[in-house]
Amino acid sequence: MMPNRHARAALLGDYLPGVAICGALLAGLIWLPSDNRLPMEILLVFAMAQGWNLLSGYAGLLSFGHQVFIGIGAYSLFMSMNAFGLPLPLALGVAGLVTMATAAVMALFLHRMRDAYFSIGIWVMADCVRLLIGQWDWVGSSRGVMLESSKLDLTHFADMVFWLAIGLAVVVQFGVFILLRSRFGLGLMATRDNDVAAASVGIGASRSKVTALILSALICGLGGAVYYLSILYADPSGAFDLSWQIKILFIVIIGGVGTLEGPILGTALYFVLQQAFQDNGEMFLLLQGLTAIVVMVFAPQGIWGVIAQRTGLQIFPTRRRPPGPSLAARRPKPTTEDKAQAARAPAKG
Amino acid sequence: MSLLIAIINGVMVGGLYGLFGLGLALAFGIMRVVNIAHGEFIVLGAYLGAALLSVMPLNIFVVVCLVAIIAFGVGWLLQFSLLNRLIGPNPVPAMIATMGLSIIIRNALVSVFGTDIRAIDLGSLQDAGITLFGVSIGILPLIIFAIAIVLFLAVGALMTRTTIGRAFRAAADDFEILETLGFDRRKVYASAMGLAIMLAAVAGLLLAVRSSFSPYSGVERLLISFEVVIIGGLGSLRGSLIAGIFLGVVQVVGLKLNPNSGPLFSHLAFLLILLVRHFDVTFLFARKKI
Repeated sequence: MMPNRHARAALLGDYLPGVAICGALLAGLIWLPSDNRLPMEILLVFAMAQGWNLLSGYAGLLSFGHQVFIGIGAYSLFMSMNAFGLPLPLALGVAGLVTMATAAVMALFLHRMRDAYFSIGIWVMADCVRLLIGQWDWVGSSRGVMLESSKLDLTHFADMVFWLAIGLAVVVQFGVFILLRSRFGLGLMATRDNDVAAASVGIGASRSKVTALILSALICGLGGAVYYLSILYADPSGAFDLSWQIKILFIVIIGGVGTLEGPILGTALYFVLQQAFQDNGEMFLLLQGLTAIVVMVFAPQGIWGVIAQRTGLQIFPTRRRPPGPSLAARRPKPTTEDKAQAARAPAKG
Repeated sequence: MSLLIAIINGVMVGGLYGLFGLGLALAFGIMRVVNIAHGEFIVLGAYLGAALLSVMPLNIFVVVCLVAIIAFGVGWLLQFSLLNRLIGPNPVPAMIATMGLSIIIRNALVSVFGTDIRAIDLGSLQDAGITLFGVSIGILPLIIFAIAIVLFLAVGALMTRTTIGRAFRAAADDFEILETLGFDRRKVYASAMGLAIMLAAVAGLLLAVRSSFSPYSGVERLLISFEVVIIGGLGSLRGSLIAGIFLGVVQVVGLKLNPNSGPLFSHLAFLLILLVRHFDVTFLFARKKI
C-alpha cells in the first residue's frame, strides 16, 4: 500500500519536532561549552538512561542491576584492545556483543521472574559479576585495568570520544523511537499494560521482554564502553558501582518513566543539580533520595508525564492515533488510549 | 575441624539472616511493599546500638530492647505517613520511594558516623566460650542464635494466637473484609511495618556484634534478605529460618575458602537454586503457603 499524502504529512509531523529539539540541544552541547568532557558525560548518561527506560518504562521490568552492563561494556572493550589488540571500532563491536551475550545468559534466570523478583534477581546477578571481576586476575582483579593507549590516536582522542557519545545518544533516541513505533514496540507496551490481554491476541510476552532486556543491555554496555574509554581506566568498584544505577533511575523517574521525552528532561535536571552541588556530594545524594520520594508521592508519572497528561503534548509520538482529516485538527484531541485510561482509572483506585 | 567451626558459625549467622528475610517477607506479604531500604534499617539498628552503648554502658539485652522499641516506632511512622499513600496494585512507586529512602539513610549515616568500618565490642562476653566435644563455641554466638530462635517462635505465636497477628494474615489475604470487621487498615499496615523494621534492626544489631559494618553494608544485607525470601518462600516462618541458615553456612564456609569473596558464594548458591527451580525440581523447603 502506497502511503498517501496525509500519512506522509503525519509521518513528517511525527518526526519533525523531535529532530528539531534534539538538533537544538546537540548544537548547544557542541558549541556552548569550552570543554568537551561534561557534554560527553551528559550524552552518555542520557543514552544509558534511555536504555534503562526501554526496559523499565516500556517493558515494565524495573531493573536495579544495569550497572553490570555498563561495567561489562567497559571491561570487554578494554580487554579486547589490551589482550587481543583489536582496533577501536572492532573492540566497540565486541563490547556490544559481549554485553548482549551477558544479558542473554541472565535472561535464562530472569525470564520467568516478575515485578520485584526481577528487580532483585538482576541486582544479585550484577553484584555477583562485580565480585567475580574483582577476583579475576586476568582482568586485573580489584586493582582494575588500564587501557593500553599506544594504539590510540591521542591527538584527536577527546574529540573522537565526544563524537562517539553524540552518535550513541542520537542513535539511541531515534532508534528507540522507531522501535517503539514498530509492531514490536506496540506488542511490548501491550504486554506491559495487560499481559493476559496481549497474550490473547498472540503477542509473545516472554520473547519481547527478553529482546527489550538485550537491547537495553546493549545500549548501557556501549555507553559504559565509551565512558571508560574516555578515562582509559576501569575498576570493579567504579564500573560496577550501584551509583550508576541510582543516577540512571533518578533521571528517568524524575523526567517521566515510560516516555521518550522524560529522560532528556531528567538528564538536564540531574546535571544542573550536580553542577549546583559540586562541592557537597552527600547533600546531592540526599536530595536525590528525597526527590525520588516526593516524585513518587505527588507525581509518579514524572515531570514529562504530568505535562503530557495536562496538554496531550508528544514530541516523540509513540501512541497510535486514529486516522483523521488533518494533523492540526487531530493533535489536541485525547487519544483513545487516554480516554480508555481515564475511564479505567477511578475503578482501579 | 575448622570447617566444622565455620559451619557452626554459619548456622548462627544464618539465624539472623532468617530474621532479615522474615522482616522483608512480612512487609511484602502483608502490604505488597518491597522495601528496598530494608538493608539500611538493618545497618541503622547496628549504628543505633553502637551509639547507645557509647553514650552509656548498658547491658546488651537492654540495648536490644531499646533498639527494638525505637525501630518499631520508625517502621510504624514510615508506613503510616509515607508508604500507605503508595501501596496499590502497582508495586513500583513504593519500591522507588524506599530506594530513595535507602539513599537518604545511607548518606545520612556517612555524614554522621563517617565511612569507617566498625564493630560493636562487648568486652569479656565477646571472648567467653565453652568447649563441646572438642569444639570450642563462643557463648555470645550461642546467645545470639537463641535470641533469633526465640524471635522466630514469638513471631509465629503472634501470627497464630493474637488478634493483631490474625489481622496481619487477614490483611495479606483480603483487606476489604478486614475493614468490614472494624479494623483500620492503615494502622494494621503500620503495625506490620513496625514489626518488620523491628526484626531488621534487632537482627542487624545482633549481627554487628558478630561482624563489622559500615554505612555501605546495607546493600549486601538487603540482597541477603531477598535471597532468604525467594528461597524460603513467602509467608513461611520455617522456610525463612532454613533459607537463612543455608545462606549463612554457605557464606561463612565460602569466606573460609576465600577471604575476599564477600557475599559471592551465597549469591551463587541463590542463583543455583533459581536455576534448579527453573527446571521444576521441587525443593524440600520451597513449598509456598500463606
